[in-house]
Amino acid sequence: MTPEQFLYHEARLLDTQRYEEWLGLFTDDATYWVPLEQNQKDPLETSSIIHDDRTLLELRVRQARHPRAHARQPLARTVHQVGNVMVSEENGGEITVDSTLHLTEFRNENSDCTARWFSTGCAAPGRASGSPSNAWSL
Amino acid sequence: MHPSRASRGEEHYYDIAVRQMRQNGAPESVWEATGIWTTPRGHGYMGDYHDDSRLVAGLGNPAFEEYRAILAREHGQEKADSILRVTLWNTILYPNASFMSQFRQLRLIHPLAVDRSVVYTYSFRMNKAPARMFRDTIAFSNVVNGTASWVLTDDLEVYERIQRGFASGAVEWAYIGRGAGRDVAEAGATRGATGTSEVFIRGQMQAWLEYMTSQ
Repeated sequence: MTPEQFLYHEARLLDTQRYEEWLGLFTDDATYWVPLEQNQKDPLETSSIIHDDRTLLELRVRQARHPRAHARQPLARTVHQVGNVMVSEENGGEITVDSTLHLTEFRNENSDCTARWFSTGCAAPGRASGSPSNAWSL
Repeated sequence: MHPSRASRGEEHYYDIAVRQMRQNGAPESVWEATGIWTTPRGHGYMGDYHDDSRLVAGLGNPAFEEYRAILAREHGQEKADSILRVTLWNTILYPNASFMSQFRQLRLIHPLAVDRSVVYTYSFRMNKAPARMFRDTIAFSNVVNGTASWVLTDDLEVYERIQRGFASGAVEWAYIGRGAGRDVAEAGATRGATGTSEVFIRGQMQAWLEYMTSQ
């Protein structure tokens, strides 16, 4: 699977609300970081929009499925449009991929649009702990 | 591996988030028992229900103990104790400031329109305090205040549903009467009968009325 196909696959899992499968892409030591400030270097000394580890990502998925999570009813419908995919670093079985993301979200009568630049660390098949041996992982 | 990552079984940077969510899911009896007060001019404060040693001084966390020793060295034991003994959760300065002193956080609310406000959250790094204390304040703000955080998204959903209810035109009055008639007069403050009393909203409305009608 090419890096493009892998990122499209991730986006498709989110857009079709297959959150458990999406969570399965992440290794146990994954960090999911959405900085708050432009050029923010550090997630520990400044607030972030998201700074999650694997446990917190799992909490988000479990909350999305919880029948009493009022803020998740209904779940948002989304389109994650991934573009400008470039491999910026290769190191043995690990690569770093830069990409852009346009996210359109519909929920109730509201729609919202965000654009972000992403840097994703990917491990080759079988390299990451806990990942299926034939799949890439985040 | 992320630099904030602890070894398996050790306290982890992120554990604070999990505990926050557990605490927010506390049974109703906990909220009912939490103290809530309002003071003249619409101000108010809540007692605390947190039992996370990384957030609350006095629960023996090494970072706080280090800070306590520094404070005691600079200001004396008595002053250090009086500062760190304050366990208030949320304090409201009418009309638009709120601080969580024990988590070293200030919030300012700027209303833009009837259905739109900006909340600015400031996290404070205490002079000479261990780095860990500030990192825990940041972790707290990520979980509680961030636009993608668990706590704020839950809160915003409630606000939006209330706004939709009002916008329907079917609602003539906002009911803020919970606990009314059971307020308890204390020195310089009025205490709500229970932690879920709306005494503080009534206090804000009273202050607004006084400001609008005084000459």
